[in-house]
Amino acid sequence: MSTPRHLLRYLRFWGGRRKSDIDQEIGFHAEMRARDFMARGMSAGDAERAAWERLGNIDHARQECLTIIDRQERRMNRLLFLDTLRQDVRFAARTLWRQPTWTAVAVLTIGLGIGANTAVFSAVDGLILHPIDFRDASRIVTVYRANPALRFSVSPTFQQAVVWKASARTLDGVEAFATTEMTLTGQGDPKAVKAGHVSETFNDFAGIPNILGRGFLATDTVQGAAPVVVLSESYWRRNFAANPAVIGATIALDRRPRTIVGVASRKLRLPSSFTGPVDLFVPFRNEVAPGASVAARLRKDVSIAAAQAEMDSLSARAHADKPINGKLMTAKLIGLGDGVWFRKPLLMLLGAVALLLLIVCANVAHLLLARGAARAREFAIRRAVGADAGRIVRQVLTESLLLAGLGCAIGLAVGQAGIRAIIALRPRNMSQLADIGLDPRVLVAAAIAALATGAIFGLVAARDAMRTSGDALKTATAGTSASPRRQRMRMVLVTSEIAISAMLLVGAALLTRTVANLLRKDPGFHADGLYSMQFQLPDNWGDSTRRRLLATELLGRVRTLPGVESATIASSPPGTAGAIFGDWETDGGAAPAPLGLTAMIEARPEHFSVMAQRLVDGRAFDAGSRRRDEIIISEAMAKRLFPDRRAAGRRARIASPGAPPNAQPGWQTIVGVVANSAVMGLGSSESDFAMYSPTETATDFGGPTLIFRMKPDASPPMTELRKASLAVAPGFPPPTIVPAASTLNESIAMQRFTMTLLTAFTVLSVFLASVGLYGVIAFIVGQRTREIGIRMALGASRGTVAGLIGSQIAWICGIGLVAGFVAAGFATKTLRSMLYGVEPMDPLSFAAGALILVTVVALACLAPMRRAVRVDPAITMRAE
Amino acid sequence: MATPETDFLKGTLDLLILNTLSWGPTHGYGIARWIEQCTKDTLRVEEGSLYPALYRMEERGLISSDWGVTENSRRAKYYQLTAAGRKQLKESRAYWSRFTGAVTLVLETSPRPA
Repeated sequence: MSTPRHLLRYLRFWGGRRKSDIDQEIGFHAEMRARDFMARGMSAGDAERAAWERLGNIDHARQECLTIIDRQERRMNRLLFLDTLRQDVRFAARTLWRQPTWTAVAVLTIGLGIGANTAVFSAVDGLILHPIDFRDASRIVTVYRANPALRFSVSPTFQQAVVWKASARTLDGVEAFATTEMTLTGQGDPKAVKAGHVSETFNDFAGIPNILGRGFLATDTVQGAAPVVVLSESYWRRNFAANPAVIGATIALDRRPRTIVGVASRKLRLPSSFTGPVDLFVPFRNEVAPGASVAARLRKDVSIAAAQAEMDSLSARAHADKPINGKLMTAKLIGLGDGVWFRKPLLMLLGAVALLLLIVCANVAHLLLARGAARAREFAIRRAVGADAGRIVRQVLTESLLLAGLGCAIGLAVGQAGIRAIIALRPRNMSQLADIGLDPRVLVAAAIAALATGAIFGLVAARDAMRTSGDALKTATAGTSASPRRQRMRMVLVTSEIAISAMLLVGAALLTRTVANLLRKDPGFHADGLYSMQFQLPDNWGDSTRRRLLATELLGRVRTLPGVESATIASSPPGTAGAIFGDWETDGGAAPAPLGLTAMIEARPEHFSVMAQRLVDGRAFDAGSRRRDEIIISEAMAKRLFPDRRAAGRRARIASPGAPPNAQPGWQTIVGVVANSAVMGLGSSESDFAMYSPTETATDFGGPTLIFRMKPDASPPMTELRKASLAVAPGFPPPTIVPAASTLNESIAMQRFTMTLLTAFTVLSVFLASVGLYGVIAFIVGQRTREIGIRMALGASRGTVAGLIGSQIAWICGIGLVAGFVAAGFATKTLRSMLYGVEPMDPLSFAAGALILVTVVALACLAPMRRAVRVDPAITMRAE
Repeated sequence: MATPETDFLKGTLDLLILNTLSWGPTHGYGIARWIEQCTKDTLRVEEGSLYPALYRMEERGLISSDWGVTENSRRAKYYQLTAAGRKQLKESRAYWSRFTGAVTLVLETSPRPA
């Protein structure tokens, strides 16, 4: 390989003359040959001709040589470029290193902006925009059953899915699936696992074959087939150490041994917005998991509207689609991402973090402009000694890009940490968040944004500095660029940062008040000292006698434990409940307005006293209540069903107008009315409608839940409780003991999660905005030092000076605040559905936002203000 | 014009150039003349291939070039061996001996008379 340095030297001094080399050489050669011939006696003309003839096909040779020269030149240029680049980068790095604070601030700012954006956008993208990795995922929809009169949708059943699969022509594949909790035994302690029930066509639907073994076959789903199971990839890695020999091994689920026939790929997830990742898959058997979710794929080039139309007409004709409470249910199709129930908060967070990015860019622009101004003198000197303007610009650009690059690296780390934080902080009912990963596209986009900002403002700064190069040397001042246009741009930047911060502050204040209101809400029962333990018994566990024995034994044991004041068994922990849809009709015959969602709780007679709930009318259950078909309803429900009469003593039932008379459900007698309570968590307003049905064992709707109250200042006896649960339900993992307060907290987990994230972004924004403001004010003070000195020499007091600077600060903040609040006024309207107890234009939140902002601004400007008032006129005048 | 001599020459041009230059730097014409003189005009360098060969070898780093002035005060490009070129020459010479020795053996021990 030719030594580059040698050729470099050649190129530098002889430059582009290389191409003519070959012509000169050949010419010389011909001339010498001719001279030779002439020496032998030929005439000049003949000699020349003969010489050229002798050279032969010189054109071809020349061409070849030119090609070689070309090749060398190109390589030369590449090396030259790399060399210059290396120099630039080294110089840029040194310059940045010499100002460590500035560099650190800039890099961290960029890093935070990019990281926060990447984390949040990855979450949004993973959940809403591209929630699943299936074949033709964009065409996958979720199918619900709904009726416009009811506000909610219902799960379809497996049979319905079968019907749709057979008859819908616009759908290319319909899959029913469900999730249940199962208990895994035989591998150490019994463990709870999440199982996905899928059909044999699931792998095909997803277009994702299993990575090991096989999927399910039609033979696996029939009644009486040998039980099989497919592990999920993550579960396989975690618990079986990715051992390929698991195929054929047996594990026991819900006391039933199942053979492992395959391992599913990590990409195979249940296509539902409601479920997170599952640990393993079992064949879907209708009798085991009747409530299913259904996903379907639209045929190519079929729109959702067209498919919906077909489903509507199918439902109108279908007999398999039984009406719910008289309302005909139609199949409703929703795109997969649209069904995510916390879509709105996520989008709001996305908006917030985008605003944060704007602030970050503004700050970075700021920093670069300020620095560019400070280096005007340096550039001026360099220009004066002959440096090429283009070179300087390129070097400044390199600096900005290096800065942006470092920021990106930090951004990557911050993004990763952010994602992990989101996953860790996520509420339990947002389990899909467990699955998100750092999206490389987002990172690239954010990086490009950073680089673009760096490049643009670096160039602006450089160009700006270069323009004033001549003057900078002449003036005695520090040569800082004071062009009014730049100054105005800085003001605008800072003002907009303040405006954005104000907006975010209002949003955060609103959400904080919402959460505070929710937490303060009276749950209707006494949550202090109340605990629950939720058992998850599979449906095939024992018969009714066995279950009743479990209940009585459990209660008996727990009631004797030290510190326990009272205990009962119900169908769900306090603050959670199952629910049904229904219209209720009353004995009087009048058809009341539809109620929609009614919480259903199975309760024993002592339920209300254990929970410390108030009965406003009638009495509690007794031993014969179940026999007599009695129910207790909540106050709100009573008011709705019997607006002008007492509910106690009346009869009601769930309405099913389509059913024939002898198939009508029986009337249930209302024996009591209980005060409203948060049966479905603090967040939902539907929690006011509740129906309690009498029970002994509370196992009709799933595993029994033990609810017990401890005496004041007593904490639950953990070991004894564990022993008791193991004794009554051996082979099942003892359930965790959850304080009622936790359950209530969990019920508003989404609001708390959103509030936490928004507050985090707001804090960041305010911090960055104040840093930006500090920079600008410090700069202004520096600029006006002479002016201040003169004023003070002429007799102005400290107060006047403070007022001077202060008024400028006040202007910036004032405009920013007003602009921000106006924007907030529009933006918060979209938050209405997430708020509780506050209006979007809540004056308290706005006031709080203003107060915080003003305080922070005051703190940020403290130092520059002090410097302004401490100006010594003697010194400044002397420096003239 | 393709003769048996010129065909052989093509493959060994590099070796001849290297060897010529081992006696001292010279220009392209000089190399051509030297070879002609040494072989008493038996080998005529195909000048169409001389310069591409020189340029190729320079690219590979076996020779280096510099502009200089001849006795007649003409400008000419002089080529000279580099260290790598010297090494290459040694190896090529060794290979050439082995090669020609082998060919000679084959020719001499042919079962049929030539």
